Amino acid sequence: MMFRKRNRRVPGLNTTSTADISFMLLIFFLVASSMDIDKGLTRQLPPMETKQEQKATEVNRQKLLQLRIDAADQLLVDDKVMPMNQLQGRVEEFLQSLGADHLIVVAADPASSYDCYFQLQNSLVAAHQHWRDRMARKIYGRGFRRLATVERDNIRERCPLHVTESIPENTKGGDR
Amino acid sequence: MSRFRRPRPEMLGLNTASLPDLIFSVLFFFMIVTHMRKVTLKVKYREPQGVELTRLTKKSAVTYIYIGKSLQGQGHSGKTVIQMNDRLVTPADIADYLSAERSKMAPEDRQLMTVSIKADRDTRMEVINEVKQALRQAKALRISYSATQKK
Repeated sequence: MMFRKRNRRVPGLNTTSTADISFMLLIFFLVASSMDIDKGLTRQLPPMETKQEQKATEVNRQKLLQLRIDAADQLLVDDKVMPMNQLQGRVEEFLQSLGADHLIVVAADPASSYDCYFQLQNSLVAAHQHWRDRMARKIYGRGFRRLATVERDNIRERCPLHVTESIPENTKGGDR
Repeated sequence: MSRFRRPRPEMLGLNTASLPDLIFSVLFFFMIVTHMRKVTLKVKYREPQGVELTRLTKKSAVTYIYIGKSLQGQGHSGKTVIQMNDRLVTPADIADYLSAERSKMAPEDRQLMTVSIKADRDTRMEVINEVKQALRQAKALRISYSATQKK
């Protein structure tokens, strides 16, 4: 009887500090990790062509849209100055009138800024997406995002975006 | 007055037994939604702002190139530099670095390999063009111009 009485109470484990410990872990993870979600404009670069494959192709002047950024970060559309916020409308108009048979030539001066070039790319993508969306609405009566995969591929085929970038020859050398 | 002096019933202590569990769930949340910083940045950059952005989904197939102003060194601070994996590189090194990265990737990721260019908005196009040529040489053709969403 004596033995049993002495063994009855087991002291509970003190867990008050568990909260503090997990707080420490939490703060560590907050400091060591970053939450930024990566967003960006996805583009496809053309493959490096060998010298033999390079062929001069004749492109009709009517089917060409020349976008140029000069050294002072000014946008020139077919050699006429245009503010950046009007570019999207101009490109949309161009795409809509010509359909798949078009070519957009982009050239950026080595001294121009990346921001300007990025805005240009952004407008191109925006114009292309609007065009695609409009085409989807015309054919299927729904926006591009709500199409089925097959329909989407069909629209993609109808509405391609042909962009060629000419990189100036004098990029090699010089100080960065 | 005597009414207020009456001894009050003893207040029960707040039960904090579930507090660790609560904090653990917050911890797990953060562990899931964030990702560890892999590189210490040696360049300072401010990304351009765009509207039509897409999210990079497959993190394991993404390689980052940072282009911006150098943060360290008295002599060449403020100069545009290119960083890949904790190291400052020249455009000529990029191809080697990319093929090394590619060989480290899982075979199914190699097809989807994307290079995210995180460049400062004031970078001159000269540098960007050089990097792009190097990427073409390395056959890393899927690129993404990293940007922040314009509100």
